[in-house]
Amino acid sequence: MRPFMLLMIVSVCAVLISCNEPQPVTTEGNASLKLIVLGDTSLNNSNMSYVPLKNAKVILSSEYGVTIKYTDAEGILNLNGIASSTYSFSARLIHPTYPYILLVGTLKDKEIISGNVYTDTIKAVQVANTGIAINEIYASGPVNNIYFFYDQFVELYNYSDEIRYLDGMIVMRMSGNTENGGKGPGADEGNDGDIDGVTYIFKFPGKPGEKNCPFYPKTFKVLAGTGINHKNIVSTSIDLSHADWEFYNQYSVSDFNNPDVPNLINMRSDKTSDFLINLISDIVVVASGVDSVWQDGIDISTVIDGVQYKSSTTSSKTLDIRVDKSFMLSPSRYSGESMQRREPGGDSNDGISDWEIIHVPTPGSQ
Amino acid sequence: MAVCTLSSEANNLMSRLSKIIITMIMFSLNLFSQFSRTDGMGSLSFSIVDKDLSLSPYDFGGNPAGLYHDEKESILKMGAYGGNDWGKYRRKYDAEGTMNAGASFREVKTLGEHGTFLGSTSYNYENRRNYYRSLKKDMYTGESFFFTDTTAADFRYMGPNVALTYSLELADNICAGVTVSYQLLEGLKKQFSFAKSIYRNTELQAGLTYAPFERVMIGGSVEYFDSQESIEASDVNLLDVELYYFRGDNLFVSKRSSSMTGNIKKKGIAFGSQLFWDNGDDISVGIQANYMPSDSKLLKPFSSSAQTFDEVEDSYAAFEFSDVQLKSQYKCSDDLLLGIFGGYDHEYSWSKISLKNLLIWEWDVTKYRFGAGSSYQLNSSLLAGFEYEIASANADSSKYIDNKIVNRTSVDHTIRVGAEYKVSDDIFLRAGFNYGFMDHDLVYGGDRCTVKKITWGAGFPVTEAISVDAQLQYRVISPESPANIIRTYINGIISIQLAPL
Repeated sequence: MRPFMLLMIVSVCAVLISCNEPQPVTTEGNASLKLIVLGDTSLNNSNMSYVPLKNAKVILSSEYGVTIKYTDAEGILNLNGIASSTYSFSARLIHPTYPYILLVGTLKDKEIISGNVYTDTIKAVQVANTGIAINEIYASGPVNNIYFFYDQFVELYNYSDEIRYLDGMIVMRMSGNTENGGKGPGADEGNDGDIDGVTYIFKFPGKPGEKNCPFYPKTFKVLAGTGINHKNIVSTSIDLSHADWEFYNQYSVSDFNNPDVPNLINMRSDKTSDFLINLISDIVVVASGVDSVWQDGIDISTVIDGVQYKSSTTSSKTLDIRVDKSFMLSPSRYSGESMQRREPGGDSNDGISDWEIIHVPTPGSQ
Repeated sequence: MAVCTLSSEANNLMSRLSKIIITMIMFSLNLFSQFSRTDGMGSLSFSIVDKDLSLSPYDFGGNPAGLYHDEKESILKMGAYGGNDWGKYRRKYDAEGTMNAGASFREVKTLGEHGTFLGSTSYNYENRRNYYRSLKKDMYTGESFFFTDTTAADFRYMGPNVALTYSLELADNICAGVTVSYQLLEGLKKQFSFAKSIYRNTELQAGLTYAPFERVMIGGSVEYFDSQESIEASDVNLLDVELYYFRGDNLFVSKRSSSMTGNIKKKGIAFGSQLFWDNGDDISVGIQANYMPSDSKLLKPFSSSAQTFDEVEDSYAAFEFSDVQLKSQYKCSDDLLLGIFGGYDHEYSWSKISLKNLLIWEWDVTKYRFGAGSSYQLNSSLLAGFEYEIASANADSSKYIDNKIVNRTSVDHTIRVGAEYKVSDDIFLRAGFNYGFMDHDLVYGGDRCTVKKITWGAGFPVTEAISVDAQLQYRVISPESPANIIRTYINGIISIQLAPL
């Protein structure tokens, strides 16, 4: 009977090798959430008046992507059978009476676990309707197979009701601060109230406070990497010959300067290339220029707007939360797609709900 | 897209059964030359006397220990096969059509008291036309996770398969056997993500047979299998590759990069036992029971703000399959043979999201089968056979992640008719026909399906030392719902056998 004993031993060994994992007891897709969205519609800071926001857009973001839902007539969004994940919710609605006011509220990092019932409230507040925001970033490059991506641009929008002035303002790419265990680009290294990791820093002419470069309300300014018609190089590209501004590196021997487009100039003499940003993952920051000493970081109080874009939700977000609480998802490289705010200048400092991917860049318009 | 609009739950509900069918197809591809005779006779399976369908541990139970008594002559066979299928009756992630071809060699070497050796090798080629987004070789194998990109494109697989079996009589009435097989397939998607995959499957099987009495034989076997499919998608152009790790039918986590990888690992073990009895005259009975637990994992790179891993387990599925089969033949006279067949299959599976340890799908399929038939030697030249089989299957599916609970029962009927005409001592012509009806197609999800199959075959000598067997099958499945769509299959095999050396 030795052969049968041997077969038994082989069988036992095989069972041990192939032992299945234990079956979970909790089932997925069995969570419910009741979200009440209230908004402050008062026009007076001392007397806030929260009312249910009917038909408010609620943007849900999680590892499963971004989903858009709307509240009902009572300002309630009921979600049943939702999957377990960590969700961020952003509710937004244009003020029912004053269309230039945006009501924005967020609920961050809400852990939803299957089998539970949740109730939560989002209180939307009025986003101050003054200032300048980065409105569009086109970085991915056009559809091409020659590695062409030099048609990048950054678009600003004056969403205030006043003329703003760009004099002395700085535009930065932040990709440094990774050496020696640094917190990463855009982070407040040393917790001294500034953001670090400046790679490129270009400035508008003049000094902060001067009034030679007006920026009229409800208008766009296109800051081109190179202000030429790129369609002449790659047919799927865009025409930036009519850009409002152009990044020009005076320390470069090869950077083309369109004399018809005014320049932002380079403040780092050690950088001899044009203002180029990563196609799928980078940080762009605009600051007043009051603090332009980039070596020790740019004071957060001088930052006008900043955003981080990434290709996935799981890669690290490093830009300080006082500049932007989250990030935006970028399109694929060489896809010809662009990133734009959902509403012109709609800035709630929450990139993932403020921004969306658009299929065609729209320099100078929404 | 003008494909049939099968509900996804119907697609997935029974998809586990497709694994059984896929396994059978692969088995037939590897060892096809054994089945060419009855495949040409309408695939008669239990009511006909055939060397390769005998009631023995090797033929009926797949026990390698039975090879010693099953093969008494040294034989060399070589052959080629080809097949094609097409049609709009398909599931979401299926190819529009599949063309496959291959060549194989199979040699049996009897060594007398030193045992019997069987070696087989084949090289297989498969081209899946417009394979819809899928990057996995086998998309419907019962897991609730899919691995896709964004584009439909041709996907081809090719590679060798080698199997070795050795069987020996250890002592009086005790035989032992072992089989080792190794399969390697290289896959390539011809567009967009240009996904490349390497699939390898290793199987090791050991078995024993024992004849405690003159007319009784028992057997047992254990088989361990382990497969791995490594997929790398990397666009040769400049675009990023975007891949989707589906959990259930609707939810997915997308990843985008210039290069992406995924890894699917499966392993399992199969226990088999067999019992055979005959009265030495006109009755023979064989019973086999099998139990097979297995699992499947989808592994992928993972990174977060805190950690980065080359590979983590994203999803996991566990399977338990058990079956009992009975086959019996009664020789009423020299010309008339009656056969019956009974079977019970049960399969249970669950899938989870590993990182969250949440159950996302649970399903259970039970199937009973019963068949009866006969073959009759009408005259010295003509042998005809008839079989009828009825099967009843019940499937429960709880796809929690999609909030879909489904229960479905299907009763299926199959009629097989086949005949062999002996033109001369060495020349045979064969033909057959199948007609089947299924309440619900357990593989593709259609309702009230009819299956029609026509087969042809021939066997003839080329020289004294060389003989040829060939067969051709044409099969059409057409559901009543969804209407006006069909799936068509055509397969051909030619096998050349060299006379005993």
